Amino acid sequence: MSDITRMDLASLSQAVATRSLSPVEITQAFLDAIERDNARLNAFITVTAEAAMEQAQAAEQEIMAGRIRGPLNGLPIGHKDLYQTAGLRTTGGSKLLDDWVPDEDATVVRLLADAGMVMLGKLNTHEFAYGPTGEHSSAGPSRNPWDTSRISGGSSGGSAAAVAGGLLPVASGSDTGGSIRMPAACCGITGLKPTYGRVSRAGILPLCWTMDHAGPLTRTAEDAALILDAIAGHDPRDAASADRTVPAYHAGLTGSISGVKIGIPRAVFYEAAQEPVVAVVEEALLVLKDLGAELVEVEIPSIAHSQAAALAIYLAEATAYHDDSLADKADLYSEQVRVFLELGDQLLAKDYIHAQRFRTLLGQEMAQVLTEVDLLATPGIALTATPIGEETLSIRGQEEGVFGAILRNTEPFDMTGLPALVVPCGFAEGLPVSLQFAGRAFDELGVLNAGHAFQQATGWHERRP
Amino acid sequence: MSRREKISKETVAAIARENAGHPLAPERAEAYAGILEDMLTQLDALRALPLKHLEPATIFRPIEIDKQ
Repeated sequence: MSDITRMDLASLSQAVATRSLSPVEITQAFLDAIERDNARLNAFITVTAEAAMEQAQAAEQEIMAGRIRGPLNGLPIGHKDLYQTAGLRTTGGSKLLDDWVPDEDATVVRLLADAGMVMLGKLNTHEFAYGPTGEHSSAGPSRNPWDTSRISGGSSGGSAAAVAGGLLPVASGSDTGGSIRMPAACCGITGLKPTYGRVSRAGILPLCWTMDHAGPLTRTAEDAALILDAIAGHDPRDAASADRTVPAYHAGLTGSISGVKIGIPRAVFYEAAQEPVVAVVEEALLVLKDLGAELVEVEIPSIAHSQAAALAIYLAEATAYHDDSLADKADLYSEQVRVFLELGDQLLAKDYIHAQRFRTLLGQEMAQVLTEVDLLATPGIALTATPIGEETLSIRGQEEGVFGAILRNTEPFDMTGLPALVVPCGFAEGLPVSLQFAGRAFDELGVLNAGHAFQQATGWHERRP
Repeated sequence: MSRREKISKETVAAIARENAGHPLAPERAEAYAGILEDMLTQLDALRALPLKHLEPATIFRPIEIDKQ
């Protein structure tokens, strides 16, 4: 990894602003890294080197002429291949869309292009985002830069592998059960899932309409704030988009959590996680305490039912979306995704409705807890990255599926739509461990500030594979 | 609350073929029956929760002319 590709977005932005680095130099450094390491990580499905250099040169000319669009001007990004890109193939990680070239950009793609970002290409994804490991894609599995025999996590696996591996400083992702935060946690980087409706999903291939969120995977919480400043806001193209005031996220970071009350929900989140993971997270909680936060044990009474309800919602909505393709192109899906879609045929309508009613209950319980505390803190995921191809694992003597275990801690915040952030907080057996903050609806600033304060006090986010 | 019976490979195959229009090979129907039984057992617990007075999280919104 070169000096440039080790830098975070905020540092690169500062370097461009002071003219110590140019967009062309930065873009070239990351393209060189992609050339060198993408075959090993399988992070990119499509690399747009020529177009990227043209964008970088244009940004450089603008900046030299004094026309600076903002802090993201001239900085590289890659988009999950679930995001539509006008004139550029968008596969969704599936053979079904092998040759699909959309006419329009997703809203997030457009907003970041308008902010002057340089797109280096499209990133690998678990097929149609329907899986949490990044293993099943028409492009093959994305690989974890800390140990390429292990999963990157998914579904935004290429995004996480690229950022952790120094192929990009930031990438877009989507999160339905944790698909931004799970790969960020597996790969030791930062991942933000904003509140449902805060960032437009228009132009992103849906998995599950009532649970899909868009957001960034970055090196730091500060970088996530920079991106959120550019992509948050109302979009009439997205029926779920929230028409609410958007605060200034980056400017609002104080780095102080003194006096902040942080709830610790032990049941499920801690008690069903690997013991070495919990030990690392406990150390992170001590850091928060040292920073002046007040840690409070809290209970979310119905949390144990969250996974069953989420499953009913995935099965119903994803199968409905894919119904036409499943009828006549079933063999083009990967085996795992096809099985999930076919299982959706068996679900009763009343179970889907029960699951949606359960979301109301869980949302009420979380809202109640968040009147008593400002934030929740949990392990990002219950495990460290598993070997590619491994379907089950043992946690505290209990054999279970990798899919269920990895989704357990992230999914409740998709069910409730609350903002959640994961940040790296240490290692267990050489693999990254992550801390998750979740907050009140539309309080992205609260979770980002907690992550920023933690990262100001620790150096885990600076570790590179 | 109605009480369901354990799901069989015949049920899976029939629903897939007759309701959903996605015929399944007998071996796939058998494999899915086991997975489904596990899932439906979890969903049984959802059905037993006190959700009587809660509306689903998805609610209908009339479309206004200027927002079409």
